[in-house]
Amino acid sequence: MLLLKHRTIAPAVAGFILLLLSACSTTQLGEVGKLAKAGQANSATLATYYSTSATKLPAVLEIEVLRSTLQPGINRPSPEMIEAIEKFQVSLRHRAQLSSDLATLYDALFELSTTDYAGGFQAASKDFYGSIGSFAEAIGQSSPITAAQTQLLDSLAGKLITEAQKRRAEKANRIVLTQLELLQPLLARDRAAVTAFRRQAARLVEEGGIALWSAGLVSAKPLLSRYGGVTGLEMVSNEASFTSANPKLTATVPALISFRMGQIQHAEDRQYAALEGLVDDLIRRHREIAEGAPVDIAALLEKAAELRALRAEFEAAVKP
Amino acid sequence: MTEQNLAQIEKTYELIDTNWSQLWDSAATDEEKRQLQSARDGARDTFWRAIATSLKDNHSLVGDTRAALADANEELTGLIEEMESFAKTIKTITKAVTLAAALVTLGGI
Repeated sequence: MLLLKHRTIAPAVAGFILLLLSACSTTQLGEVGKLAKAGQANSATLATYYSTSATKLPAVLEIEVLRSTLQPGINRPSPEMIEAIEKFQVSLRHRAQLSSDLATLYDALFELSTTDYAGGFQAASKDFYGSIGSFAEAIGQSSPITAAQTQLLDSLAGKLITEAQKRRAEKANRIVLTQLELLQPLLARDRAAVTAFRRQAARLVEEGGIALWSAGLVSAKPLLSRYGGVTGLEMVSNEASFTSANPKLTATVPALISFRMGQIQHAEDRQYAALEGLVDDLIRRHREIAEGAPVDIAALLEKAAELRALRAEFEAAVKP
Repeated sequence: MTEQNLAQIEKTYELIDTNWSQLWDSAATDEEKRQLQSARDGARDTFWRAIATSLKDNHSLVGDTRAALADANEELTGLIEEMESFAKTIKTITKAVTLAAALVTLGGI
């Protein structure tokens, strides 16, 4: 039964072991180090993204409470809704932990490929396996790797200490590759949920903003100032009296809120699209190294720069 | 497939919630308002349950339920645009919410 459950994973691990036995000699030691450096930066960005996303979830409940006060017919969050959101928050935190452990693993891979010290890699590799298992459990999936397989790979990672540096880096590269290949289907499976969550969380913020505006509890001054500020104009101090006296303007504010939220959502979509392909990119580069093919490290470094730029774009979009 | 299940469940919730004021205003009696409220709660809770559950697509019943939900969502889109008959609209809303809940239950097996 256990074998059947893991039948799709077993060939990947078996293939990995065969690859280890025939580790090629063409790997460039420096390339492993460069890949580790880029992988560390990208994984850390991913960890930040997921931990930030997890902190947004309580806002969904707060908005629902707010709307239940301001909009007729809307009920406060039910225990079922609260339970589901807490459960999803746990899975996002696991994603963040997984990404953070991957960044630590890349740190150890960098250290292993640039110094004589290989001790950190075994511990980081073991922690990353643990994170994969915990993440699988959090999203209701069976762990993609059995305890026996974990033990075998752990033992292989432990033996790296006695290897010569170049061979050690080659083998460590393959261990990371195997781990990412095991993780990839789990991430793909959970992607639809993360995307739907992001979309609905943004929509609910918009609904909450419109409800506050319709109830007359907020001023449109910061929103309108954005347009005035660009043209070098300053908002009049008694803007509220003009807005409320102008029904057309009053009716336009919800559309402006929707437009602004659409812009924020677009910036976040671009950021997420770049992030969700990260693991696929890393797998491609590890395979290139394993096969002795030329590695396009520059593309990964560009990716890190792109992620920083998209993060800045998103932060600019949400700035009041 | 899982993505398609979730997309239809999300659509039901979004259709009801983004058109909430219009739907609420069209409910004339307390009973109609109660039905509507209950349907919104159902659509909302089902969506968040679907997000937190790893939906699977292990049997044909899941596909059939998803197809029926897609039809109900399409019908509901038209009914909300026209908003001619509350009775017809609430009937379709209730049908869609029931199918969405069934899809989460079936997909979770």
